[in-house]
Amino acid sequence: MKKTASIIAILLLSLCSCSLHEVKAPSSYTDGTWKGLFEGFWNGMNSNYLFWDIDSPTNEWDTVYDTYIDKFAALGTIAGSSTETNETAFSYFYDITNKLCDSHYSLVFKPSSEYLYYLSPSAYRYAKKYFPGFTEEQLFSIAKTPGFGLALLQIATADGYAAVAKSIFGFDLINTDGTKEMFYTNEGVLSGYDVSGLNSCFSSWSVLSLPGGKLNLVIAGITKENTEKGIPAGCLYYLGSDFLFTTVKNENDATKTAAVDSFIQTLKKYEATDGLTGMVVDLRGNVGGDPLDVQLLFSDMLSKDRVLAYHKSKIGEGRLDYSGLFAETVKAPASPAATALAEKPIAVLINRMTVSMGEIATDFFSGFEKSVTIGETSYGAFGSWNDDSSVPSGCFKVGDYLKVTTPYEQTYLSDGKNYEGKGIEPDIPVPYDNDQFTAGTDGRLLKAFQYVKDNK
Amino acid sequence: MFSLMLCFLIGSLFPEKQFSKWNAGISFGPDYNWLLTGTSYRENVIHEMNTGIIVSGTLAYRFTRHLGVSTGLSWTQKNYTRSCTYLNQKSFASFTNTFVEMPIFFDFSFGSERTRFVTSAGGYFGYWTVREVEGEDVIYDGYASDSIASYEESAFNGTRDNRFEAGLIARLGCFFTEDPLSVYLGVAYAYALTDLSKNYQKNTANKHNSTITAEMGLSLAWGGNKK
Repeated sequence: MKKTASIIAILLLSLCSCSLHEVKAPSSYTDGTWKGLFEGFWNGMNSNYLFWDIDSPTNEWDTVYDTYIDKFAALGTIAGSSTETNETAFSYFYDITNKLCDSHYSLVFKPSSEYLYYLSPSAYRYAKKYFPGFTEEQLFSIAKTPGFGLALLQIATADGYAAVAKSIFGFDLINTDGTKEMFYTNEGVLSGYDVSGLNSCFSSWSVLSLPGGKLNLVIAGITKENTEKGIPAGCLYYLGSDFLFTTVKNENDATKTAAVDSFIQTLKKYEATDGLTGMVVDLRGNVGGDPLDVQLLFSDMLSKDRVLAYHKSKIGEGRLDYSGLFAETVKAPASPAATALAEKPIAVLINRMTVSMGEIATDFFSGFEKSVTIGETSYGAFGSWNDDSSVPSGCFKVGDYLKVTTPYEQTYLSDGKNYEGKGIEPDIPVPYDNDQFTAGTDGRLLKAFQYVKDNK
Repeated sequence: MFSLMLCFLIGSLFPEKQFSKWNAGISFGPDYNWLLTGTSYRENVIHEMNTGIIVSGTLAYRFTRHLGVSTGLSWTQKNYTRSCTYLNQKSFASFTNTFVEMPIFFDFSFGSERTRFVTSAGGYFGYWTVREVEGEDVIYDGYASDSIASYEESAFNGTRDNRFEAGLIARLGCFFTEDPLSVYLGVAYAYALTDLSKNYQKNTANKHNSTITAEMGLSLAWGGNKK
């Protein structure tokens, strides 16, 4: 009996002795070698990257490990590496990442204090699409330029919000002193700025611009007839550089919050104005922001709750450990004041640099019965990202050498489909005409106003 | 282990007839499962135990005064939760996983025939029949009302989910007998040796179920001739 009891005891103890394989922090792999850097990068991607269902459907990511581990090992130690070695390592990261579908993805690679490389698969996609004349060798050459690499090619958006405001409405973000200050104005004179163009296009208008890159420029106004510019009367026009109202309000800066609140109040007043013929929402160059902004700005147009988008996140360390789809809802107010506007024609202007929340807002407006999208295919970046170290997936660092920015939530539009890396195609494509635009005629905007006029 | 198995084998080949007894019954009770997983570097990700229920049908054969074997079929839930707080957000997921399992125990019993204690050890194998995940994201906002999004999902992923489970199990219990009926009270601990995920990728954290059950039941005994 004693022997049997001993054996049972041993068996019970053995239950507790099985060890678990731990997932380690990406930085824990850094040992000063290129191999360690690659291990940290590969493992960080393995557990933090969200798009493996698209980018590694048949275990391609494991093949990346097998293909590159020895190549990185052959490069030796990072400290004191030659420019040639740095560029070889860069070329490996370039090859590994430039086909990823995540359009928010970027990899900042800093092998020494003299070198800083920036990799972005969406910038590569963008260059391939909009600069078809470049060969792969030329693209690689631009990509390895220390600094912004291929992203340099997308910095200037031809008909972005600032260009539209300046060329079409004669409103320059830079004031007459050559500076840009925080301002908000509601149907008044804006000291230091020429607003005659705004007055010629709008019977009422409101402008908001904040310093620091958030809410760089937002214009709302009710149009008055301007035959020279093809603008009909009585249309609500909204132009936004981003959707960062919620973000700014959460910063708890009283001055900024007051400016933001005043603008929102005025916008809501415009939305509820009797007799509007329709609405033009200009999201060209809109860089995105917070989904809660749609609730803040446009929920008065809803008579019932509406799904804005869906998102999924990681609920485990495995590449396919996904949550289900969370529905993000815009709630209709108890007494919505702008449901009449929702029944009018709504034209949404998008271009190649309408990004992220700019694209989700485009989809939101597409849910109205008489809405249409005009312009060109949007950027195709839908995830939510934040580089705070507490976020359990998405962005990560590998020591001081490498930083990856990637979303912690993958977003699906209201139809439940994934448009990451593809973007939203406009219902009415209108090519950009640079000569016409710089001369003050915006073909896409004209088409939008024409749509409102024809369908009111 | 080999000695233990040999002991039971010999015992079962040469049963002591006066003690040899069959016993069949049903039992049920709560279970408490937690996920053993290697994610320790993510300090704000917390896996917590969750409760479920277990219902079992049992069949036992005692062949000597102290030794016996038993088996059965169990319907058991192995639930757990995962939560994470970051930025102004809390993400929560509740996993409800149902398994059908067959344990095989080597039993050692002692005490009187009316009140008999049993300690058992063995293994089990099972099949993961139902997977349900309920998730909730709450975004605490400084000025607007808190935003809550949720989902329910029940699909298996053929690439990811390992629906076969096998592991080790041990239990302690007591039978209170008034022939031919017995009332059973006991607790058991099961450790899954298999991972909840298939080995579909390099270097991932293991995920093993670890379950304590508390059961009570009723059984009918037959055979044997000594009280």
